[in-house]
Amino acid sequence: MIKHFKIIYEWGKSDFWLLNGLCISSGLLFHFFNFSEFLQGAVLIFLFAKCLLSLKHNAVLPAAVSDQDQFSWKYLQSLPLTKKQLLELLICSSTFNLLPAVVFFFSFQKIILVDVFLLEPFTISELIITAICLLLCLVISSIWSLRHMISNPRMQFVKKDKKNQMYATFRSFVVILAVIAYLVLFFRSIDDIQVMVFDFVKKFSLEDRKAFAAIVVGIFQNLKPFFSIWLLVPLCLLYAYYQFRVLLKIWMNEKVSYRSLERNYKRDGLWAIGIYVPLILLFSWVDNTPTMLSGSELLKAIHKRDHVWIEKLVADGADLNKANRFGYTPIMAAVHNADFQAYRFLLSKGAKLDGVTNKDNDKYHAGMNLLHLAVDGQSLKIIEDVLAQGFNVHELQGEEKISALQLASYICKPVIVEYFIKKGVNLNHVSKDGGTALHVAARKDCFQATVALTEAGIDPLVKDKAGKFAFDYSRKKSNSGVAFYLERKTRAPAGKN
Amino acid sequence: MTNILKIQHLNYSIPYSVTLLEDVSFELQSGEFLGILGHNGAGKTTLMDLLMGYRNKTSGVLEVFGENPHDIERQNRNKIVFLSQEVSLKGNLTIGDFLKFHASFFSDYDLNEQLHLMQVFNLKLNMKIGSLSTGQQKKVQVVAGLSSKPKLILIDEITAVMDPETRSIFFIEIERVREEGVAVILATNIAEDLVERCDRILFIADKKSSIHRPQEISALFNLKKAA
Repeated sequence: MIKHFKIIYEWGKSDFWLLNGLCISSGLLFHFFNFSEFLQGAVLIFLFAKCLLSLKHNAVLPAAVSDQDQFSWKYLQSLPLTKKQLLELLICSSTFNLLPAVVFFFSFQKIILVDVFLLEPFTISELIITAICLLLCLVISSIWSLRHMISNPRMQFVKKDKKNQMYATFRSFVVILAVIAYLVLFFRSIDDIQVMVFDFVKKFSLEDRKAFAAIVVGIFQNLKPFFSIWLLVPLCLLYAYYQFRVLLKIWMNEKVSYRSLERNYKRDGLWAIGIYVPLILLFSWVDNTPTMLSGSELLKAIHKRDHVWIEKLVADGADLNKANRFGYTPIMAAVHNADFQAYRFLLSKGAKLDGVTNKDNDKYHAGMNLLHLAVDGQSLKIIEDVLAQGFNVHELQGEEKISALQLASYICKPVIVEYFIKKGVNLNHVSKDGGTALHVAARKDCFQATVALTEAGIDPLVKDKAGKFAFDYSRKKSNSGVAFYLERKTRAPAGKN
Repeated sequence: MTNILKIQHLNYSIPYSVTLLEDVSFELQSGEFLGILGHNGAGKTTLMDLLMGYRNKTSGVLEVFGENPHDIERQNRNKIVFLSQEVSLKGNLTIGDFLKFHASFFSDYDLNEQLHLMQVFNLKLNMKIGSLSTGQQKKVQVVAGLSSKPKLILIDEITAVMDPETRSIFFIEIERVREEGVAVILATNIAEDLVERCDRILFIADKKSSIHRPQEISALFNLKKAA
């Protein structure tokens, strides 16, 4: 296999090294120098297109029918290779020639992740995981394309039956939906394991618990990202291997290709029962209390809005001011859940209002007091009551220094935005990233909040630390009324002196 | 004489669909030339696909060098070469690149044979395959195939795209390798390619097959006209 691969490498090595070099050097250039976004976009499109074209040009890609550009499938099958060897050669060739596309991603990951998809930049470990998963995805897509190439010519002999095709499509939908549901359950259950550990820790004395909990929390906090993300790698590997075996099976047995078009209600019905019954049971059994609100029975009751249970727990002596590991006390949970009844009940029972969510949470929910949680819960009634309890409308959230007005813009609730404007908040307050509430509204494509803020007098010409106006964030969304509206506020109309 | 090919009561049907071949039986010895004739859609290419292991038989016995061609772990594949009009090559490679790639799979690949055939067919190593005509690309296939030193050559209508001179050269080379003990099966619509060349004819019609002598070719087709 190595000698065959060496020959294939010779075909494409100049393209391979040229593209890798271009991607890396362009990535560095973009990183250190800021220049026209149009030129950046053009370079990115050009490089990505070249990466894909090099695959077509240099890889051994079998063609089902006679094709001037590629080896026909019949030629490749005629070579003295076993079926497994042939598949390995094809998959290796495709994957090798798509490596420049992976280098492309890493060279421009900041632009792709941050500017295009508005995500956070990846850490080193996340980059490594993404690289491995991307490679595995390339392998899987090569296997899929081979599978279609083997199966599709066989379908030429089958008479068109629209009912069969609709049935096959519906069956695929049912299977894919079940896979997604199982994945959701699987990753959700990883959070549950952490909750079980903390319940066990409670059996010890307070000092022991604090010490032990600190260790356990530390371990789980560090392992959790790895559990969630690193598991993708073995999952992808397993799936790739499974698809490889299916491909061999289809290749060896013609009947399998035709079986997918059969309407076998009994067989498919039994499969559906076998897949969905355990799924339904698991979903009904799994505690769907969000992790942020886990940690005590009272928090669970508040999440479920079970007021009878809440009253019973409080009557039994549940601690009204005990915070979970995210800093949520019961009254904070009630406010975040927009449960006015539970909030007033806990207030009447003496719950303290001075809790603040801690930074173990994600950065957008860290340092939130009761007012911020009330905004996030989107209940104007609770916001008014919390302010009446003496909270300061100007108080900022966490290290990011986010104001209540910015939070209201983030959740895109114009009613709450207008309420804070009437309360006289500082419209032009900038958070740690240098953006105002208008930047937030533009990023969230919230038209009504954008109008409310600009008509209240917010300055549309404030640039954040990335050097961008609010308008620049709105441009990324297509057919955006926000972009149209803000453009007129940000720039002078064409032709005007 | 070695028994290269053994077919007994071979049947092939497309799963859940039509039957293409019924009760085909014949054997092939080393050095023998078998022609396969039949009208369009008779099943000539299907039979070749079965011999190459591209499709799996429905029932019957099919052994090539003592193995089922469809087995995953076939051992004798390097003894077989397939020349077909349905085979295409990667256009951006030169002839030299392609022959180097092809040679890497055959341990007995003969560079002297390659040199001889390149001269005979008037080809150069630095020619790009994509720039060649269909007939020239088939010549490249023939060079690669015969240089691999096979024991069995399966030819599926490749001569249809060759000019008369090339076809003549091709059959001269085929005759030369036959003398070395190579067996040949040629599936074609061109009856003239088989007259005075092949040892036997396998005629396929209406899913059935029958063995004939080359002299009977005209009679076969006359019968069809009369029908």
